[in-house]
Amino acid sequence: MGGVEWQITSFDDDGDLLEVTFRFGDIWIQFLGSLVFDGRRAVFRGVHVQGPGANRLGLKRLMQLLAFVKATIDVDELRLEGAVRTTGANPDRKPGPLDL
Amino acid sequence: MRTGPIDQPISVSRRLREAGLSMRAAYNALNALVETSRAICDLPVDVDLDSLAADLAALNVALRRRRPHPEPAAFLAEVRSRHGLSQRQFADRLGFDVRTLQNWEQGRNRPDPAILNLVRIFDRDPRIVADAIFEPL
Repeated sequence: MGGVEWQITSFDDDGDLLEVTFRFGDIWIQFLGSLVFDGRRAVFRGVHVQGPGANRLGLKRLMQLLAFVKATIDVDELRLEGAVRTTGANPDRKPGPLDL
Repeated sequence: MRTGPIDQPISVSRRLREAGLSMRAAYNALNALVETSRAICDLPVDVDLDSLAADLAALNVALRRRRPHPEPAAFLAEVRSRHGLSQRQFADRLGFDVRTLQNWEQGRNRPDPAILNLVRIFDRDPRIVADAIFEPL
C-alpha cells in the first residue's frame, strides 16, 4: 500500500453516539452510530455508512480499516450492526451483524 | 419524507445538524427516515427553510412544514358551511358537544390544535372520520 495507512480525519460524539471519518490516501469512509463497550468487546449499533462505494474500497482495505478501528479503541472483538439500508441488494432491511 | 434511496445518510444527518438539530436528534431523524420514510423534527425558527429544503431534496429527502393553524372560529364555521351541516349535525359527526362547538364558533373558547387537525381531516374526507368514529353493528 506504499506506506499509506488508515487515518481518522474527523470525529464527533454525543455520548455513545459518534460520527467518524476515516481516510486511506484519497479514499474516505464515514460511519455514524452508537458505540457501546462490554469489557474488551465493542458493539457499533445502528451504523450508517457513507463512502466511495464498495468497488472502490475493496474487501482488503475494509478489513484493514476494521483492524485499525479495533486497535484504536483497544478491543479484542468488534461487532458492527448496520442501520436499515435504503440502497443495495436488500433495501429496507437491516444488514446482518458483522463480527470481527 | 424520503423520496428515494438515501445513499448519503451521513450527509442528511450533517445537514440537519447544520440546521440546528443536536447530533442525537439528527441521528434519530435519519433512522426514522430510513425505517419509516418519515421523520418529524422541531427546527429553530430562524432556519433558512428554502436552503434546507433544496439541500435535502438533493439527498432524496423532501422537507414539509406543519400547516399553520387557522383562526378557529372562522375555520370551523367555514368547514361546517362547506359541508352543508348545522352545528348539531357537525358536532355529532365529529363527536363534539354542540355547546362546545358553539363556544368555539363564537370565539368564547379556543379549541385545542388537535381539534383543528381533526376538522382538517374531516374537511378533506368526512368518510375517514366517520369510519374511525362509528362501527357497523
